[in-house]
Amino acid sequence: MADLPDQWEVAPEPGWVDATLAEEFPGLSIVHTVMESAGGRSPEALRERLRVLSDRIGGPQAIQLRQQPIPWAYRVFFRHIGLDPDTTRTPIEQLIFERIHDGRFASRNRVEDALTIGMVEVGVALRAFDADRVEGRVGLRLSVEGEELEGRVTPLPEGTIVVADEQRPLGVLFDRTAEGRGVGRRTRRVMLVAIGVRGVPDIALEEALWVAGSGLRA
Amino acid sequence: MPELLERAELQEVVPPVPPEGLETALYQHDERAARADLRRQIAAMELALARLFGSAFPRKGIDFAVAGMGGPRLLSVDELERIRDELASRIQGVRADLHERALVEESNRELIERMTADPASYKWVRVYNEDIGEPGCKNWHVKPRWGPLGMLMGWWRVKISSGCPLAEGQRPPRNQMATKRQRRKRRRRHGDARPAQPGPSAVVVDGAQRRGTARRRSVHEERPPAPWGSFPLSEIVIFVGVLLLIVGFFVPPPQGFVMIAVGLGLASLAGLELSIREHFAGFRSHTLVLAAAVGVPVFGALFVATMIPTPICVAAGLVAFGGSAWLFTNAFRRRSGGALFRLRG
Repeated sequence: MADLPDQWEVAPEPGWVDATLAEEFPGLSIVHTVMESAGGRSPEALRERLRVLSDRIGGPQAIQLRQQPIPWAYRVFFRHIGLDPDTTRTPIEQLIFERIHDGRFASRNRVEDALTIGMVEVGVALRAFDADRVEGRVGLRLSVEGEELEGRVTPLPEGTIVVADEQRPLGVLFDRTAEGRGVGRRTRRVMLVAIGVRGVPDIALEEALWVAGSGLRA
Repeated sequence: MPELLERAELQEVVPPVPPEGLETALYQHDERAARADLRRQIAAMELALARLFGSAFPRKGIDFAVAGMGGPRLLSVDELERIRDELASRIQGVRADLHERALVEESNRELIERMTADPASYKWVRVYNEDIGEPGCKNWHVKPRWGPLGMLMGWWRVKISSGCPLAEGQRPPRNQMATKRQRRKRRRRHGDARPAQPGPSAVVVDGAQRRGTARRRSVHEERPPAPWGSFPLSEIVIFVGVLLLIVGFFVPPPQGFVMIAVGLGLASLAGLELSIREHFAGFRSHTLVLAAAVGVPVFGALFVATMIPTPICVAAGLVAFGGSAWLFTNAFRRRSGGALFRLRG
């Protein structure tokens, strides 16, 4: 534990999972942590990490990816919730696809680059929210009839799995984030969220958050 | 059996008729167990499909798709069953496809063995790496040694290619070909003080190279201009030559013969000039015409001016024809950016 950085102020905190979901999907979990971080462009150190990561990932890794335990667990979960992982790619597969397509992991901004590093290093699905716009603890639940997602014109279909705080949905699971709840220019505190499924060990979720957090601190 | 069905304790556990909506705790429980079981099957099948995906590489055109049901949401037993069935069907399809391909690939490997043992029996046959299920652009091609001469003499061999062609073809990129002075001039014109640096990745470089190749290709799309400009000199000479030929048939000898000979010479010269211009600009290949223009005079000169026996004259003419054809083919390949020949209407 001596290797943990001094900046690791907030320990990863488990979120809640709706009882119905927990019964149907044992192993489904959500872990989050909040970090003080400014947005904007990535510093050189973070971009250098992306470049090194780009050199480590190539065609052979992309071909073998879906046979590795954690990416496979996400593919299976996608099938279980009705998504086709070849059409709606899992977060890690989407990143690897972009790496092969673009020839590198392109730098976007500090938060997205930190998430990229965390996801590629560990394979866990991560996303980020503006911590100041999250009310209470976050969790996973099913949407109720007529529930709306900010920024979406039509209400969510009933029974959609959403990431939510104690007041409203923050985003659809593995899909769009509610308008104004994601990380933007005015964000000062970032909530990093790791979503675990059956087959992904808890330690991997914490590690992914730690890696992404170290990227944010770079 | 009636006794069994009428047992009171069983009737308490399993209702004889499913209640409306199947909403009792008992049925919910049963469905949950069924869903869990289906999810386990889907997980196993997904792994099997993932392994097939890995082993299928680099083969292309295999369909691994299994449609989703729209989500993310809880799926019913029916929907999970459909996914399970589609996965099972897809796995079977992929296995069958891979099996068929494996048979074809094995026969292609045997073909390579046979080609290597007896090249003359497999003239011009080419087998690519892709045909034997391996990555890369390597190929085995049965070709004659020394071009047309080897073709006539039956000197066939299997030539193994050296890999994938460069994105640029055989010519180096333009900015490498330019002289220092030209590069400096170009930099001044574009206001770029630094020399061109390679991009951050191979893909970016390839993109630039592709653009360069496309630019060079566009140059080959146009007929090369004559050295004397737009004046139709060749066309006029051909016209005069044809005119002399026609008139020469109606004029009594010896003037008629002279007119025919001059007409033939003029038309041939004009045609030869156009062929040389198009060939060496990489616009259209005229290998056979140009090689004949070398081989025929060699044969003619030896036949007329020397006492060498006719078969040797023919052989010398053929050697000149074959050698010059090989040289002209190489010249065209260099100038066209890699094409051996190019035909245009």
